[in-house]
Amino acid sequence: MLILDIAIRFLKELFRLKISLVVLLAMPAFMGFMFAFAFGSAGLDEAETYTIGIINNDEGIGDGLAAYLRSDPILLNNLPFNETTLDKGFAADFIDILNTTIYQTDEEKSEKRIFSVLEYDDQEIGQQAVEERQIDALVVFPENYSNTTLSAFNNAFFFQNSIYIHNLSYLPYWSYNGPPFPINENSEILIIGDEGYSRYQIAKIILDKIFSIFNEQIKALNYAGGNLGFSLAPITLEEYSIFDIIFPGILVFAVLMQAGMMAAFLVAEFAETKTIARVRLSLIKPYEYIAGVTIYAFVISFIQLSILMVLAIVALGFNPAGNVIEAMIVLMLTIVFTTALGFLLAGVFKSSDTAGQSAGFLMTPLAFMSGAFMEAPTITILPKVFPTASGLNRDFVLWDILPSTHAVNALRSILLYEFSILDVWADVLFVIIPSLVLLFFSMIFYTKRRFRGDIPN
Amino acid sequence: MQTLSELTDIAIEVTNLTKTFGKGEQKVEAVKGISLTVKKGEIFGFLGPNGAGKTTSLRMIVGLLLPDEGKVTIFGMDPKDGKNSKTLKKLLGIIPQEISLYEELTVEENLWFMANAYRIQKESAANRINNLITKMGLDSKRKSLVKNLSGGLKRRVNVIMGLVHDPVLVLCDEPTPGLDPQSRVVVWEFIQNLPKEGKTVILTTHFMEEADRLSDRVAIIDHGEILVLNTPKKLKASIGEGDLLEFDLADDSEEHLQKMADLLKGFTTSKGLTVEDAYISEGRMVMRALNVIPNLAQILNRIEEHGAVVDNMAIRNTTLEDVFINLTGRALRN
Ligand SMILES: Nc1ncnc2c1ncn2[C@@H]1O[C@H](COP(=O)(O)OP(=O)(O)O)[C@@H](O)[C@H]1O
Ligand SMILES: [Mg+2]
Repeated sequence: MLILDIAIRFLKELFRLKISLVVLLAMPAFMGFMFAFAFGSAGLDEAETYTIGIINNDEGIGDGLAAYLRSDPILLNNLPFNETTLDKGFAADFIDILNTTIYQTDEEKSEKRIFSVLEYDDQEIGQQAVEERQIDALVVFPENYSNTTLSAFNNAFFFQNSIYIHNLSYLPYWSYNGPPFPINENSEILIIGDEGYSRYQIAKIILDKIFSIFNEQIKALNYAGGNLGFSLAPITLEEYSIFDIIFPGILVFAVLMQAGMMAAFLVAEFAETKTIARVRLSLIKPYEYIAGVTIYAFVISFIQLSILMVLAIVALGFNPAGNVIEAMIVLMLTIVFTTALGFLLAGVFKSSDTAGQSAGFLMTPLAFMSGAFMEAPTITILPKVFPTASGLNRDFVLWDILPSTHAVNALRSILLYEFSILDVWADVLFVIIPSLVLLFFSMIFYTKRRFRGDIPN
Repeated sequence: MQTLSELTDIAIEVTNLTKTFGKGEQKVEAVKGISLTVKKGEIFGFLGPNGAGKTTSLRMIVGLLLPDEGKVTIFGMDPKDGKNSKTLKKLLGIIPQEISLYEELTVEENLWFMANAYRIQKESAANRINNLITKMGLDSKRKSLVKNLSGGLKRRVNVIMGLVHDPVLVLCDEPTPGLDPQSRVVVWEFIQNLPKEGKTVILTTHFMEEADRLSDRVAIIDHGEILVLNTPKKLKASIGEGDLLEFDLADDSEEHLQKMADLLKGFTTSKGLTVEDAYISEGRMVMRALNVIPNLAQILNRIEEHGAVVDNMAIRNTTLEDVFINLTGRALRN
């Protein structure tokens, strides 16, 4: 097939050029290490207080069970919670934890709280507050949160002792005879926010960390009594690297940079080897040539992104929460955008060096505009219209016209917040549709410039 | 069905082809309305100095440049008509002036890419490629990367790149500049044999020996215009009869050579011989006159009186270079 012959020709040329090969392999490694060094060790250096909204739907510990525990002080004293929890439920305990957790700093004991908590009765109002950025995130405790927590105790107890709490009996002086403890109860705490908003991203990381500490403590259950949450130590900032937040942006940056390499190769055919004349005079049609080059760009990008992904996971401590394959699919769609840019550059520049260098100059600001490294300034075009992964509507901002912005958002949602590619459908559409439109026009432009009319000497 | 051109034996017809580059100060009238016909099976030479408009003309003929004015007809077909495009692409083959090859591919891979680009069936492509490689003496290099070849070998590959699809019409733009003598002979023989395979060739060159040896007819082109068009033999005869006498002078500065040429031009000896012409060519002074030998002493005397020291002297045949100088007053090389 002619299209494949063209793709293979480009790939052969690239793989035989030792310098390109070094660039191809070393660039992701270099970018990964550079960003890991720049952002990884820095951590969160500003002790910000994040405002979070809470919807507490927790129905608490069932009345029967609560009454029984109150009547059985021996058991209650051996469980890691007290009568307040029986009254208000575990979510309330947890909210206290959030309210009181402070930052740990090296020099002196900081009094700075990590969260400022606002409770809402109505989830709609809470979501509106997120959309308006009055709060950084909205945490929704489900109705069965307390039961889930009790079930976690019970399951942990069973795991250690091969018997559920409510089956304990025949002790010399005590046996359980209340209503059954919950088992295998599941629920999920929802953290709602705009995945593209940096304050949400950081608040989310810290919340996740606190939840995981909490869950660990349940598993390592002891019978000391008191309130479980109070054993949570102040949070040290250094524990939170923002490399994770940055990494989806690095992936998109790597995809964007591919445009330079592609343009350089295309321009070389035109300006350096001058073989474009042979291509034009042959039976190769412009669309076949373009399709071949596009396949080439996909193959190269796939290799590069795989290297970057594996390297980040294996060597740089990136811990993808979500599906890496779905993330790769989003990246492959983003390459359509890069390819379109590559053809535009190749239609403009007259030497492969300037094409490559200019691409470098153009792609870096483009990555910044896309929010790849830090949040770009908000310039709202349409307020509260764009659906995010967690179902909120955020503002459609200027940078949303760039497919790469949506690629960064979709990747963050998938890789960091465990959403599926279907949850970020809106971002995916905004990656692919404008890219295809741009690709269409850039192909026409490229064809006009390089396949029609004069070929200068 | 036979087309008109098959009946008329005309491969290419060009009328009033014109091309101007740039605007204002930078305006270059590269080709100024040239007209010519190329017959089937001939080697048609375009001879002219650098910048004469040879490449521009060739590129307009194959369609890589759009003419400002004028018309090209190839085997009776109009290249501007989209429905002829595929047929014409298969008929045309180019040998570009600049080496245009994929440096990171081997010789064979380069040729195979072209075979695929013309959708040639595998078996016949393999035959054709082997054949071309052998003819160019590249058998031992077929698996070498082009970037590792010497300039001469690259040129040889450059020549056959455009011939993989066995075109009937070969447009060959300065195939031998900077070539070692051995490669030059290989390329010349190759081109010379193309008409035997039924091909028609247009050859551009600024190298008069090349035009003379290879072409059936030659158009001498300068400043975008065709000055004369004829067989090399007739062109050489056109500048007049007589012998050419070539002097190597000890002082070969242009000034000195010109001074001596001026002394001789129109000089009449006591035996009634008049020097028809005298000029500089390739660093020598050249004069033309009938029956030179009996008058040689007087001629020598004439220039030696004015300080010329003659290192060497020879009688030679007229070349196309002499024709060009006769037409333009300039040498081809400049
Ligand atoms: N793409 C171009 N842009 C501007 N000037 C050009 C271009 N191509 C050729 N020329 C000019 O046109 C003239 C003819 O060039 P060319 O056809 O290459 O001559 P030749 O092949 O006989 O050496 C030259 O003066 C050259 O500088
Ligand atoms: Mg030329």
